Amino acid sequence: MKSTQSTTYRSLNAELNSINSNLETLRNQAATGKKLLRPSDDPAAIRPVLSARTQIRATDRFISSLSTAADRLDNQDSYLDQAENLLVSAKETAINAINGSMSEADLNTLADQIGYIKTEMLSVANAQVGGQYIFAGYQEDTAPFVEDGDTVSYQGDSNVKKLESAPGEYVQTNLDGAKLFMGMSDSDGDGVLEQTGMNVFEVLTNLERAIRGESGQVYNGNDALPADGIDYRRDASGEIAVDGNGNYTPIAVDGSGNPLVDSSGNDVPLLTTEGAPINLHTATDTDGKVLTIERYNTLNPPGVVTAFDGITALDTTQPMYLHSDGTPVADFNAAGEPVLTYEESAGPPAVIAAVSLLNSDSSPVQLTEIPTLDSLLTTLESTADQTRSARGLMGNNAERIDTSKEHLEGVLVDLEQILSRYEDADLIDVITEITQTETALEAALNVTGKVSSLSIMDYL
Amino acid sequence: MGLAAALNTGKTSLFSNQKSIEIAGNNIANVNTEGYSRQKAVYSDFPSLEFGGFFVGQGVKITAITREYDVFVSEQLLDKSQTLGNEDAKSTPLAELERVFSITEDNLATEIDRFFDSWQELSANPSGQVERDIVIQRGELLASAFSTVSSELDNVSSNINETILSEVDAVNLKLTQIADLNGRIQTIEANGQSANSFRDQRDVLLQEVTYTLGAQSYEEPSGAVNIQLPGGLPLVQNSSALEFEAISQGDSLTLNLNIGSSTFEVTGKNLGGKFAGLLELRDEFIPSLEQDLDLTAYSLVQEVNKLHEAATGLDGSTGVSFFNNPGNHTSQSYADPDLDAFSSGSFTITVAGVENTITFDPNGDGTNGSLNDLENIIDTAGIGVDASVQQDDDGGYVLSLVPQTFNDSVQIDMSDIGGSYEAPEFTMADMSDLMSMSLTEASKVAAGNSSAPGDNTNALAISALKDANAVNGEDTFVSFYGKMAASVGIEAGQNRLSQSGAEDALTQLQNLRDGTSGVSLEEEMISLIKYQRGFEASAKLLSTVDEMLVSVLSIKS
Repeated sequence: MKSTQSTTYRSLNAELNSINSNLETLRNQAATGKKLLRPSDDPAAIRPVLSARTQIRATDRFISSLSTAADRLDNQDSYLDQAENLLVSAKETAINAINGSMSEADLNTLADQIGYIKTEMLSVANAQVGGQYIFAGYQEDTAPFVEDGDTVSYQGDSNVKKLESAPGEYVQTNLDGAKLFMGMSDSDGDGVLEQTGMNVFEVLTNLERAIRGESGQVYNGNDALPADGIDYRRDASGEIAVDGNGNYTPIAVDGSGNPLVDSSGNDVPLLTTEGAPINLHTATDTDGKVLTIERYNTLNPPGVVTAFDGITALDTTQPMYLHSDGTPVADFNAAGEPVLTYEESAGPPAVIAAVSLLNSDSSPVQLTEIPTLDSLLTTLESTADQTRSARGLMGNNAERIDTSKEHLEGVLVDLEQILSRYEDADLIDVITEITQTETALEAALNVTGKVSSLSIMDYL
Repeated sequence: MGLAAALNTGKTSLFSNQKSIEIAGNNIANVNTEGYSRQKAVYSDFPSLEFGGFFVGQGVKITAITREYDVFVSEQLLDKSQTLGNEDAKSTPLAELERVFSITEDNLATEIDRFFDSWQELSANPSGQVERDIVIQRGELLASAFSTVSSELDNVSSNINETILSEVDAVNLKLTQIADLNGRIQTIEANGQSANSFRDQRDVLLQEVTYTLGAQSYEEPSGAVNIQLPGGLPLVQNSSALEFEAISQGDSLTLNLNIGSSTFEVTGKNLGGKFAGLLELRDEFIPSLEQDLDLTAYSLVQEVNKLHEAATGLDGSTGVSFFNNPGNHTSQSYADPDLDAFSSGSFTITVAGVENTITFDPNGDGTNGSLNDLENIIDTAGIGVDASVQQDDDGGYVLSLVPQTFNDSVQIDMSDIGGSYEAPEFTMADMSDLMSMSLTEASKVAAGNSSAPGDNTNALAISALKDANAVNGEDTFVSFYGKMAASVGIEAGQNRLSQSGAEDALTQLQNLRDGTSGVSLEEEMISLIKYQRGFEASAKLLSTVDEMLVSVLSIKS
């Protein structure tokens, strides 16, 4: 077989083309630093590369979420610290009030201090970070704690906010305000909050009143009926007193059967809306048990609507009445209030039954007894414990976040290494190869240039 | 034998050498002519005559001018040309596809990641106006990224059509030229001559036609070459050629071949070479990519809308679609719509948030039912979707569900009725192209399951979709994109390998061909010297004979 000029040039041309295209690929790799520039460069690497990129993006976001969570927990922690301090100084004030032989004016000053502490506690509970209330659950644009007279009500919800800290792992970034400050949580899962812990505001209110010397007294708060019972107003000789109309007047009594008194020192009569005394009758609850006041309180904590004995309280402001014979109320007056049929002739029943009283705004009057200062000290301690344990829980959370963040930062480095292994060119390799290829190119060019220098024409 | 005869011998030698020099000159002149085969004079001596008991030669003559030619190598060249044509044709569209399914930082997968990341970002501040705006913006960008990829795929298809359209005329011309050359070669060779240069020209054309069409050719004893397509359709017979007709209708382009009064549609299966490569990409590879892309878009829209419609916006709105819902839901293709291939059972279709459980028991006895039964049961259930069984392009049958109210969401779960046919799974053609946002108001972005501003439960749920095996129950959105990109990568890589292999092979074959048929300048130079010397010797012979004649004539004086 002969070798012609075209054969030589064709082969050289093909060789030069292939070296040049190799060189181009290598130079691209050197310039971009990447060896994975198009899908065909390494189809098997595409999936791991894309998944590494997804994970890097997600991990970046997790780290940023964790930073947000850490910021929130830091903020929250400083507010919890403040709450704890307030409770400590409340306790100091209370001890001061017990130990010292204080004048009434001194005690009032101490009581005022507790009043300030309560106000400050309220502002802590309504703390805002970045325009959002941190103890309001999901209702972050509503002030969660609203003061109404002596009582404080919760307007938020009991959801806790969670952020994703790793795939499928969530970290809690706030505390349930109702549980933290009011000791209320949905312990039986019926969607309604029950009193399970200490109500900080109630404790502080009681403390303030106890320091003022009102222990043992009953006051009208949106709280609970006295747990002990109801009696009838009696005369000096201990007989049931008869009023001008010949009726008995039901009053609230304590566990020893002694009448409860309100802040003015008077007993508390139980009257109809018309101001008439009530002729009471035994009421049973839905379980058929005799409805004592204690049971009424259990079934009917403030803000809860319960039905018993065939009567459904329409809402919390709907007072509950009973006929003397226990049948449901039949009539309602123009204001929508049930009208009581009072049967004077029947006389007082043998067993005292439960009843709601009306406030001026027709809401049920519920009475509470102010505990003694001594017992309040213990209560105060367990209230502080409630705050402390919540703070400890969040502290653990914060620690976990720190660890997670460190871990994720390590993961990020690993992921970037994986990504780099697949898509980054090893510059030393590439440059060595470029040098090799350039040498080959130079040789090929050299040969090509010399092909025509050797010609038969020069020898003829 | 006399001196006059010797003169004649010298003359034949003079002429023959001169002719050979002309042939060498012609070879040198055509040293760079594509497809030129080196020509060579075939010498033979004149028959010897008997003079005085001796046979004496009468000189030399050129009996033929032949071309140096190797049939085996030529056949190989044609074969490799068609392989190279096939791979060459694919390389440009595949490079384009590699760009569409890019794996750099900016591609569809990144856009999908960013979309779900925006939900994760929203979960940190679910009432934030900015975060909500970003979610909507990311949704819009995602939708437009899907339609960009889809329209770029369409572009690649239409570029392929353009390429075919622009080549059809050239191919037709080449076929006519071959038929023409067939005629001339037959005429010349009928007279016993060899049509060397016409054959060379025809070989070049043949190689080009094979490159473009993958046509097969065989030579008849008459010297004519007949060409037919790999599918058997004739293109050139003797001196007549058929013509391709390209018919473009809207976005589609079909190739027709008119044989007599009948018209045949030519598809990739009937063709080889460049056209086959192009049509294969246009009719098989790109549509399968489009299908995968549509399935990804469909699954993403269905999954996101399902969660979004069940959740609540900041303004208390629920049942709001995030993306516009698919206009139809089409199952995979089944061969026989009347075959009882689906087991009885129950399935659910949720229309605009209302879940309907439908019992599929067409015969009332727990036996299997057919696709048509399935359609009937859905239609008579009256749940707000119209069902129909339609025939698709490939002759199979699909079940199509269309919501009666525009933009109603339809979620279908038929996984329990699979029998000898797979349970229907749904998608929508052109979904990637049609994907668009339905939601425009930031306050309607459903970050939670309540309207409480701090509720981030749904934002977390939607962002978790990025890790869910939501496409076919096997892949995440991003990993499915990875599969698509990998299939493009494998195809392109293979193409590049085959292309360079075919190029190398062709170079080798052309070198082989040149080894036989090529013009070597050294060889021609040497022949030039050879024939020059022959010519000089002939001239010397003549002058010698002349001197001898002078000597003879001088005897008399």
